[in-house]
Amino acid sequence: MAAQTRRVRVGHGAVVCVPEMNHPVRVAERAAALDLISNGRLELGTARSSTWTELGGFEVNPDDTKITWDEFVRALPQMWMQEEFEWEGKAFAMPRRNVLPKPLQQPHPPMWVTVTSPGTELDAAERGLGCLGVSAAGYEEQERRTKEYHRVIQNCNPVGELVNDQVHTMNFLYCHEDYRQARDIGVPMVNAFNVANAHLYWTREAYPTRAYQTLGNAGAAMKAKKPPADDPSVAKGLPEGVGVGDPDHLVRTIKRWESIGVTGINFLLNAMEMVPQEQVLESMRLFAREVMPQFRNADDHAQAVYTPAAIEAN
Amino acid sequence: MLVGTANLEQLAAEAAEVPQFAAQEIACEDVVCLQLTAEMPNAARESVLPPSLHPTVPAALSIQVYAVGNSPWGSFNFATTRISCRSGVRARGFTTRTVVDNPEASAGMRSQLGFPAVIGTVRFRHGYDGASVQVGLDGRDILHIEAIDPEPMGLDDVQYTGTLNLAQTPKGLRLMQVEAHTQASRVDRLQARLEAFDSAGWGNPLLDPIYVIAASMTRIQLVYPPVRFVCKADELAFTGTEPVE
Repeated sequence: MAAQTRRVRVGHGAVVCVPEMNHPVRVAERAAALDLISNGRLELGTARSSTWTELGGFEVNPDDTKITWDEFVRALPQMWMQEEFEWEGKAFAMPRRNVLPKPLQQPHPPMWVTVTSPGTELDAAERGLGCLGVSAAGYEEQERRTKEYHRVIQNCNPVGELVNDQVHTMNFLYCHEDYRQARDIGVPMVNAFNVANAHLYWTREAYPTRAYQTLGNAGAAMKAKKPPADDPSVAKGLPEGVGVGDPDHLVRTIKRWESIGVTGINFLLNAMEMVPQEQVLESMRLFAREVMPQFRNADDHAQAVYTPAAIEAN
Repeated sequence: MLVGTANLEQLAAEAAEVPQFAAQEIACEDVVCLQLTAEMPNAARESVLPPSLHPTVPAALSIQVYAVGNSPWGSFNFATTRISCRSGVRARGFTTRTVVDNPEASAGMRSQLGFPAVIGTVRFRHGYDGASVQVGLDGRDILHIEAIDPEPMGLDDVQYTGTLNLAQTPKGLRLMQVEAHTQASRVDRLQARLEAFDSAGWGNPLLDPIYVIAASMTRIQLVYPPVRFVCKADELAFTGTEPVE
């Protein structure tokens, strides 16, 4: 995809930053190669995993993942920017080497943190990293988290040479002219994803630790609010804030997210093959035709659709 | 999507009779709880659960052993084995069997909370240096845990998921959703060895804890509020959940 597209940003889905699963030098190499192939469009996501399904498989000590993630995000920009890199830490150690290739973007690609546990958005803000929300949160909760994130990032100590102050969330997308059809196809897709996701065995459930204080995505989903009565999605039988509906509903929904500080949304287009591919493509075409023109930069084909702001840290 | 495939008639053979849903909470004081989590073979993950529940990946179970200092049934010990599962998207444990050392408590747990409780011996030694558990049923040792090296943790660092007990209720054969409200005053993580686990003794020969993940020991106040929801055992939670009036 990085080689075949020209304008969209390329999100490297969150790399789990624990050494038993990914050595940081390999992460730096892969990311830099992807940045070169995409002609400087990479966005690198970082994470530490919230499931025993993953951590247990690699015999990772859950107590350590926040520590190792912190080392990774501090080391990666240095690997990209320095000719001679060396490290002595808890997660890994290495003598002086030139880590190659170097990425195309200068000073380095934007970095993100996936946010599942409440509070991780502040870890992102303190380090000048973008906030990539992957758990379901209603408008009110997301607004609270976004405000806190922006407050803290003003005084961040950035891990690299740029501050990525963007807040993205995860959502679903199914767009159809008839909201009833959108609902009938899209809502089962959302439910199928949530049930499949819930099969994962959460670290907190398996292992007593201070490092994981919620039951992964499921915990957040359980706290998601039902839409208030004056939300137009109620009349259409759709959940609050979910990108399932007709173009009008989707424009309203995305504008609502935008109004509370969300700068981008990563849409899941299908789950468990619930929606036939042709319908997925139709949904995307309708979205591109009717919804995207309502938003900033949608007609500016000369520019990347999304470019992170590099701001000076205090 | 994975769903349980166990034969409901067989599962229901030992189901407790709950003549009426309790309106009052059940408070247990001065409780010590040892919880051990373990992975099971994935081959058995669907066949040990009723069709309303989803297994976890990997398949897992939790063993909980309680010493109850005071309760409406007096002091007693009990041990219970639960298969980790999902009811809809919610994390739950499906009880396969509960062994209680006090006949009055066993009867109360069956009739009020739907636990598949049987009377046996539950020896639970707990101290500053660790814990030891031995559970006997019908003259057989069905559980032996040795846990050492307690490491103090934060009071919120242990998760107890809700319990689902298959029982004959006023609404018919249902999974009773038993919530346990806990308030911890001490939490330790321990290194545990599972010295013995007799799967038949715990209600299902397919249970096989092949890899111990972790163990914790807590001092808690434990309250079972009145059951609020039940779920049809042969229907997914999205449509099969019913409130208890």
